[in-house]
Amino acid sequence: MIEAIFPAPGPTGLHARTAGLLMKAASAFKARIDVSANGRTADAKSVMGLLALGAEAGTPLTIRADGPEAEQAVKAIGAFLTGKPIK
Amino acid sequence: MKLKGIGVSPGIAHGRIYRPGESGEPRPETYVPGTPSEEQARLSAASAELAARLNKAADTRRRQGETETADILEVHALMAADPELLQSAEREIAAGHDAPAAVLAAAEEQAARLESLKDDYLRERAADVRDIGRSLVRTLTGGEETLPEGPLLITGQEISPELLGELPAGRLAGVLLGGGSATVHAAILAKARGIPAVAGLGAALDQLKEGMTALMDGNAGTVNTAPTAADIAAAETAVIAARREAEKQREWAGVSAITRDGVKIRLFANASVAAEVKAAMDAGAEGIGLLRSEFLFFGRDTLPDEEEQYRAYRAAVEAAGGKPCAIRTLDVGGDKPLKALPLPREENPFLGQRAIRVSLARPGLFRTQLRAILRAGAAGPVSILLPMVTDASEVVAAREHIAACCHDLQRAGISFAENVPLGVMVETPAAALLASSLGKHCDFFSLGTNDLTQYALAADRSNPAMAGLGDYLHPAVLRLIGFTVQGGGEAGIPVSVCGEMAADPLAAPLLLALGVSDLSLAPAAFPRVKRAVCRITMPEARALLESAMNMPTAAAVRDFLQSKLPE
Repeated sequence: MIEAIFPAPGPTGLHARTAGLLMKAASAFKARIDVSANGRTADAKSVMGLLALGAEAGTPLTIRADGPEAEQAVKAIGAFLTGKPIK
Repeated sequence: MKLKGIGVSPGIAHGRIYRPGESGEPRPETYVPGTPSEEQARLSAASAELAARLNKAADTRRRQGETETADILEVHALMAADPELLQSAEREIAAGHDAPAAVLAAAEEQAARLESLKDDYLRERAADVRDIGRSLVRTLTGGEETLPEGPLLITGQEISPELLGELPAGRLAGVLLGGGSATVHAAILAKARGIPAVAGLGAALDQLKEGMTALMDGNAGTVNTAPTAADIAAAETAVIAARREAEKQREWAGVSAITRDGVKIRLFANASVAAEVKAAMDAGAEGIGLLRSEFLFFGRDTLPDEEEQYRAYRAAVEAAGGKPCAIRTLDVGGDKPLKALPLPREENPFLGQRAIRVSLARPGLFRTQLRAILRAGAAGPVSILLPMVTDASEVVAAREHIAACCHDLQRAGISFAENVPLGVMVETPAAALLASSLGKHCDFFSLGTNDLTQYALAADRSNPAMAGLGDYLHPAVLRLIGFTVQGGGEAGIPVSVCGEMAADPLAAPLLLALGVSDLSLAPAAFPRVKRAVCRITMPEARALLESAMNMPTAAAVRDFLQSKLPE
């Protein structure tokens, strides 16, 4: 299992759009991917689960991936959360 | 029976009450549950079917330029196929429930989780999740609804965007909501589509039964289920008058405001929301000269966050379809109190903490708005307009905030527009008299003639007893406008006029002669201003101005213009 922690992106954290984009990034991989924040865990492929984390900008998000391409999945999500412009 | 709510989208409609869901809600007596594995299969099929239908509806809306509706429908499609929702429903099925009961319980569980969060935006999404649950049940039970005859007034405590999106075009005449305010999705969508809507009807809504006829008024916020013949006739007259007005608009939409000797003045529109922007473009506006941002802040307990502001501004910018959009920063004060931003009571609110002064005193509030505007600039040309400036220090301070916002956005990797033009609303005599120096610090002037008039003439425009005194045709106001145009000319920046004066056909020749290049006004006034400009020449306009400037009173100017420019 691969694990990494990234801050929820600004300006509003995991809101509909960001959550949708994160979900799409996660869905590109076969691995089982979980995101934890605020003591809750969600399936990264579920918009509803991601929204219900209530993660504001800067909240630490723990990403855990298990299965095929787990490492690439965590890397891709990390790139999305930290560096890549949110179009 | 007469009900009273809040008018959230203007217009009048007469039709039959249609209560979606009531004829299509789950009917346990007609639903025959299968084995748990059959129920699982039905649920998967219903989820896929609903998601596909929502995506298709989103595509249709997107092709018709209704980006806002399309975005909402797409998020709903994601929710309809959401793995957490489906897993939770599967657990219910495994526990012995049928698919419709399972999906309602699962949606309720997810909605409750969202409702437990601090964030207002996320709490409101709980209603979306419940909608999805009900839509899935309708898909499962094959709840084909039979619609009442004729024009429909869609009625419910909440109405989901997909229901509005799925109703056959031309059938939907009005929207009646029990809950909510102008900011609920259904109200925004109704407004965007030009359909009258009333919200906030509360529990009284339940007296409106499927199939009843009713007359609704989206301006007054009323519903009347027993309209008299006279009520209906009055409503029909209003509808016909609105249609005539619209026809006149269309006739003039393609005409430019050009004098007989070929000088053009560009007509921009004043607007508050994306739906108005769209209507203005249809009426032939060259852009939005004044987008009032206050509407986002009124009538609510909390301030809109950056994301909400960004979405609203972006929707307006997109509705302008590539034409420029000048967004005015928050213009509030003691005279326009905000529940979400309590300002101290003042003896003289018009001379107190207002407009740019409020923004500069609250950098957090100001920067949130600036960032939202800068981000919206990535979707099309925007400019920022600062209200009630008195000297260059305020413009310099605002520029520093803008630069800081650009820096932050850049670092966060969020796309935004660089070098957004910064305009000053000239609405204090100080700004008008200092126009030549002020012009070096900004990119354009916009004359706010309503405030300029009240400040120049010391006549409170909210005091009815002063109504006769606050006339923008006063020679003192004309001279202040003259100073502003001259100062703008020296600084090499354009000068536009917004405010009631821009919509007055009597004032148009004077503004042309003063050298104003653009007007910004309500699109309803486009035809009369175009007509006034098209029938005059510049030498005639200059002669009128010269006489007017040298008259002693506003009344003298008005009488003179009326005699020279008969209707």
